[in-house]
Amino acid sequence: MNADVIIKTENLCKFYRGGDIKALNNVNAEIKKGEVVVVIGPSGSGKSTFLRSLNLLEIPSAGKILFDGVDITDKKVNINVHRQKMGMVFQQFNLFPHMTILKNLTLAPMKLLKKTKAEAEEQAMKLLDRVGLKDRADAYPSQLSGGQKQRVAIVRALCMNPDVMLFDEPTSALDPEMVGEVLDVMKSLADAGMTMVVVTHEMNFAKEVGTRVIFMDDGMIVEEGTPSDIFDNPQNERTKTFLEKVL
Amino acid sequence: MSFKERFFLNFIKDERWHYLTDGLWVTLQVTFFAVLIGIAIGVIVAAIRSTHDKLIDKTRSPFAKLILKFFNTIANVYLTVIRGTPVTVQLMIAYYVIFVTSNNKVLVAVLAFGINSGAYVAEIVRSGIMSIDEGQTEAGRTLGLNYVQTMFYIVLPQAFKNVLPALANEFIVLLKETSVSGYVALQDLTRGGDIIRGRTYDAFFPLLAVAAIYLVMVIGFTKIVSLIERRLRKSER
Amino acid sequence: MKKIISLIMVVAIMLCMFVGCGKTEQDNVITMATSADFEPYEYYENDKIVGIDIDIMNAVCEKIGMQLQPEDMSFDSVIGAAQTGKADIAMSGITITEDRKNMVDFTIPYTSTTQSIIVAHGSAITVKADLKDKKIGVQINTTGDTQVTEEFGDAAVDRYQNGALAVESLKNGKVDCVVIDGEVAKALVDANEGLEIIADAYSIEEYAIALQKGNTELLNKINGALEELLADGTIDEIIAKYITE
Repeated sequence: MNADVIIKTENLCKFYRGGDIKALNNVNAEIKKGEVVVVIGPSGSGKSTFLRSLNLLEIPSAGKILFDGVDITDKKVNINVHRQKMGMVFQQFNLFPHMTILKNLTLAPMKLLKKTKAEAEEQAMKLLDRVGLKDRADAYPSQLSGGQKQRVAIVRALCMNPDVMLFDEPTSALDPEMVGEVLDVMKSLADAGMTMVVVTHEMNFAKEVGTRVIFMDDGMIVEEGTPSDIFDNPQNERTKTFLEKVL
Repeated sequence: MSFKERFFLNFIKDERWHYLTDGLWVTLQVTFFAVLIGIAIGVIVAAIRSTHDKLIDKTRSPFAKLILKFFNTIANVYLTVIRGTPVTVQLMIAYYVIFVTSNNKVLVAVLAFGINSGAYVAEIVRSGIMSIDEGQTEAGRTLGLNYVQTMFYIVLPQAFKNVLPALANEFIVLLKETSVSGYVALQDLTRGGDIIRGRTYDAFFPLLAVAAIYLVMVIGFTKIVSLIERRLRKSER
Repeated sequence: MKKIISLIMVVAIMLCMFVGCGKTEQDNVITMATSADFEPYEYYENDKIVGIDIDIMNAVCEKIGMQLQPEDMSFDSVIGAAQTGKADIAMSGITITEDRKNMVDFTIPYTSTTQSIIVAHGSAITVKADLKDKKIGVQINTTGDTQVTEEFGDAAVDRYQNGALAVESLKNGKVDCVVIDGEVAKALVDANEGLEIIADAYSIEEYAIALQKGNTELLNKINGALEELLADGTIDEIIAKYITE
């Protein structure tokens, strides 16, 4: 395996109802270090299932997922250790409403990375500052706007110093005027060299920030390539149909 | 007999008020320790049931599946039996059938009421756990927290806040249910009033006094709970 | 408007009937408060309350031209029911005591009984004096309860809902003995293995019927009937029917 490859899936399958529904059908994909892979496709195409399989939020029905060379679908592997290295950002933010922003950010680093409170808070404040929310550290999630919540959610994942960041439609639940602030944070993250897998409907983000685009439909990867390959010169009919609709 | 004379007869003569104060002390002891046992059993059973419900389709080890199913079945039997029979009958079974040799009536009552309350607490806590959005668990797990940590730091604190009113209600019910303690010859508050009634043949004073004492306890407890609720809500304005 | 008024009147009449205004219509019925868990004086047989007290009172009613209607309740409510007039009489193996005389009027005694002491076979208790420092089971608010409480103090007494539960605790060793009315004691010992009544009685009691204070008309009628029934041996016959020595 190429040393640059950080995630590799082999014949990844996810079946529901005993195989009647194939949410993922033999997906083979590779994510290399430093890449920003944008996964697009119509709803129900399996792109979210694919992303959520990467850290085993969905347990695959068959196939392998190699993360840093380790097959994490192996039952003997302690998935909790590997999840620390894969940050995830959700459509619905999923901040912890009973904790302040600062506690949201420091909980996992203190419990899992054994950081002291001071260390964890210092890092959290530094990252909050970077997304422009330093002054909201003591607020509760319900006091924040959607865009602010999602920025905090990104910071929460970053506080664990992950090797990869997974984004599951991070802007879909936002009011239009707040989409920009979240995409800006993601862009700066990409610029800083973070490996990212992003499921999104934001085609402009895919074009500008993505290093590679994967088009999925019916649980399969239909076509993949650079943004210009996919957007300017799609080969597959299904890709063309989809892009015509969304662009 | 004048009001004053009746009051004297029911409470002052032969120090009859002692039946009420001693009974109150027994009622408080039984309720307090039964609540503790109820919470302990309730949280454990709720944890078993909700862990089963959440993980049975997700766990990858057949052994873990078997363990989950085993404990879930035991929990279900417990819930069915306890919720399907009256507490008075359970108390009498505890005293006359199970703890045949125990002479510690308070202890037997604490166990009986605690085990009874545990079933109701379990379902309250479980409904609280299930009411927390799955995204909260996912967020915890993707950070690398294990199932128990996620439960403890993220799900349970939120669930607790949601179910606090229902829990408080359960404990008020429990306090009042201990009034059947007399069936095992335990002299609780209600039984204290019964004894005075049996001595003075006056139903009015002892019953009203007993009712008033329960009422004051429940009002006081409700006050405390609403204070806690207000404090918890503060964190989430 | 008329409709509303007539509706209110109908409701009022129905309420009246429930609450007991109806009593006046049933002048020839005597309601009897009793606790039907006291064999052989009053107990259930085939869903009917039967026993010595019931038979005696039926004989009394026959004499005075009335009908008997027993009402089952727990023993600690029986005297209260007579005292407040909720029931015309209370008859439930009630012992005459000074305390009770303050609450209700008593008829002449119709029989007497002992308070017996039940122990397990081989018990160290053989006479009444042995009860000191022992745990004593009683039925709540019976004369056994009041007498034992008075003599040995509250802490010595375990008060049970009925004799059967007290005896159950005696068998389980939770109490050292049970003090209860003599006839009940016999029934309990017959029904349960390993128990016996010690020869020394706890006390001797007289049973009478309780009425609301001041209800002298009915009191005198019943007393007259009782005197006749005692004189002609009817009461002895009734008791012999239930209690065979």
